[in-house]
Amino acid sequence: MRIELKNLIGLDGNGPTFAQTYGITFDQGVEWAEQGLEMARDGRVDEARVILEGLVTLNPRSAGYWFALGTVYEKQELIDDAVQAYTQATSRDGRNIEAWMRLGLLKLKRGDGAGLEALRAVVKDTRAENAELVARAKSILATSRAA
Amino acid sequence: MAFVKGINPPLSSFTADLSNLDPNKVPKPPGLQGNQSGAFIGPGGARAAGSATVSFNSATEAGHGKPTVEQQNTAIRAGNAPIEASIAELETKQKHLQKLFSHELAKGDGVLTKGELQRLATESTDPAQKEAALWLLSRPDIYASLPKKGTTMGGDGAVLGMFGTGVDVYASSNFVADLTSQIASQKKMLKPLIDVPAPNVPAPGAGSTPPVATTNGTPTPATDSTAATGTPKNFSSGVAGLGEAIDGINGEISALIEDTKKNPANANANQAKISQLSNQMTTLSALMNQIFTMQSNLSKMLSEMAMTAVRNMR
Repeated sequence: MRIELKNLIGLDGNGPTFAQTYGITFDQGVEWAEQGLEMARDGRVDEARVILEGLVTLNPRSAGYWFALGTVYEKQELIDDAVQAYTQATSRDGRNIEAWMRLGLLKLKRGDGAGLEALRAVVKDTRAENAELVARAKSILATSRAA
Repeated sequence: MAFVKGINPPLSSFTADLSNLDPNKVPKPPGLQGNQSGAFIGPGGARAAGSATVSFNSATEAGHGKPTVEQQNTAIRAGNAPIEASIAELETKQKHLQKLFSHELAKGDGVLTKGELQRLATESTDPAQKEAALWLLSRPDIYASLPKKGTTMGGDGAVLGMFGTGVDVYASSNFVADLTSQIASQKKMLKPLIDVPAPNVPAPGAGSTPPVATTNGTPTPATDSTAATGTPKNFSSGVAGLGEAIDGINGEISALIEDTKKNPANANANQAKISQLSNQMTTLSALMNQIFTMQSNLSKMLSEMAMTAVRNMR
């Protein structure tokens, strides 16, 4: 069944994504995302941005794409855009601890106290694999309290 | 991608050590080293532009694969909603007008003046009739749209005033019948919802696929059907879908332009949608071009490797 485009996500917030409607698979999306991130690491940030912006258009529900796009924006020093991308990532997946961390740090860098809230979200994480990140967030929060 | 810039009041008293703000200095969580934490990273763990790790897990990354029945039904409901609203409006109109035109005041000369309507609204002992009269009095737009006595549809040449000063409603059973036909036609436009499939009960003796254990013993969450069946990893296997999406958006923009020509009242709403769709189309076209470039570069690289290998054979 072809779903009418006007009902797609992005126009009314509901309904299937472009990726779902046009059969672009999870594996394919991740493959492109990985290529984009490799490009960014090689310094080809503009090309990476094209790929990741395309991916969030195809599937705006993916926290991973938003986070990856945020890191590319950071490379380009588009801090406001990076904050928006990380905010999207955390709203799609509240357990995306890396996105919370980046969001918190960027907000603090801009002098926005809401960054502390984001770091508090990090320290709530109890997964063992995130212990180092949690410790770092705790350290920054402790410093801010001392100040 | 343009974002609306937020307002961020400065936190002048904040003095925390932010020396590690460089994204390249973001430590990689120990559990994510070497993609060993399959349950978290999933099949698509990747290093981000800095050194943070991006997690792509089909179980947690919604929005790929076949739309769920619920999502499809959401889209269908969204499409049906304006039609259902229109049907409800027509049915209300039909019900009330039928009630009014069946009244003896209307039966007498096929006409209900505004005064007669007001009389019905205040004096009728039939609650439905009273409600109908009140409804019509509260809807001057509908009253004004009804065939009037003395018009070509009314046909008896009576002198007319304006609504509120004595315009007559021409009681026409044909008009109500026309509403019935409009309702039937609108109902045909409704799309049926998709039935939720019955739970998949395995046949006797049929085994289910157990979750795959990861290195840390945590079972990998079930993946969606698309990820499970898998697609050969290459740059271009999804390009057809991407092209189809771009064509689809283009078609929708054309439809909106046509709609604006037919219904100028929709111009502003349509323009907003066209603008959003144009941005999405531009973004996806750029992605497609980038994928073609990557594919071309990969082909060149493979050719060069092959040539080098052949040279080395000498």
